Amino acid sequence: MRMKNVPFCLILALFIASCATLPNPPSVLYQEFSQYENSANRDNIVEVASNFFSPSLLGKNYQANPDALSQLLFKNYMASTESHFEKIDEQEGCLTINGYDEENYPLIFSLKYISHNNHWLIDKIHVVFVENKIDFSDRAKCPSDYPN
Amino acid sequence: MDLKRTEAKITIAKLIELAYSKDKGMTVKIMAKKGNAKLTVDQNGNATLSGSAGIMTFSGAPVLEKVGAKIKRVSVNFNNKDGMKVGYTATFDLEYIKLSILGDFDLEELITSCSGLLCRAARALKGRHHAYDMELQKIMGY
Repeated sequence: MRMKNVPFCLILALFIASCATLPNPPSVLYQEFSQYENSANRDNIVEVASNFFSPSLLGKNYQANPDALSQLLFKNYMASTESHFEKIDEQEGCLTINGYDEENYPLIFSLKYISHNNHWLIDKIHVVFVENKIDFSDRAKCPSDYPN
Repeated sequence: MDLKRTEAKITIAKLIELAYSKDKGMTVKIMAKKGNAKLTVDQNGNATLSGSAGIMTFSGAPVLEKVGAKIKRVSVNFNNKDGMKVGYTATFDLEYIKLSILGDFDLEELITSCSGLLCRAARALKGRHHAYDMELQKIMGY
């Protein structure tokens, strides 16, 4: 009788162990954002923009548009990150990042991503300057979730 | 050029100031009425301030021209809770990004800020006046 219980206990132990070590959902979009954050700068943003932004966001003449340089480097609005959330629905996803600017005022990035040739690209950028950290988002929100 | 938090706040204050200089009575009527009001400005500077108390149009171009970035649209939702304290959510549509800013201000303080010497000096200069910008910045948040 005792011997019969051994396999069952073993399976149960393995099951519990596997539950305990289940990884958190992978931060796919945040990893994409981190790549942009770490590699894009004033010297290369025009050249690398198509690696991070969708064709519809960039439009046709972004290379010659003087506003493109600073706006495509919107990452510079945020000096430190507090938390991030994301959701993915097949071909689209949204990433929300809570953080602080260089004067330590809170702000939120709400980014819409689209899958383009098996690569996640930023399609909409919404920077939200909030008054207080209690205004931080506690979940992934798409730019369209914010009122116009 | 990008648009900073403080510049966005000052822009909203100056748009209200423009409405006020066009039609004091209607601006106060719309803004001081409890409930919601809305201000929109298109890329050509055509501005509309509307609420349950009425609607008015004016040119927001002089303010938008002072902003470094090209603005496609500005939309501000006001919520007046008690007659003078006005909360707002403003959204600036730029070429590649959208910026929103949340805050509140005291309507009386904003209106009276533009009756003094400082405001007249700012208008006389027809451009940026640092001390006046600082005053507006204080009223609109920080």
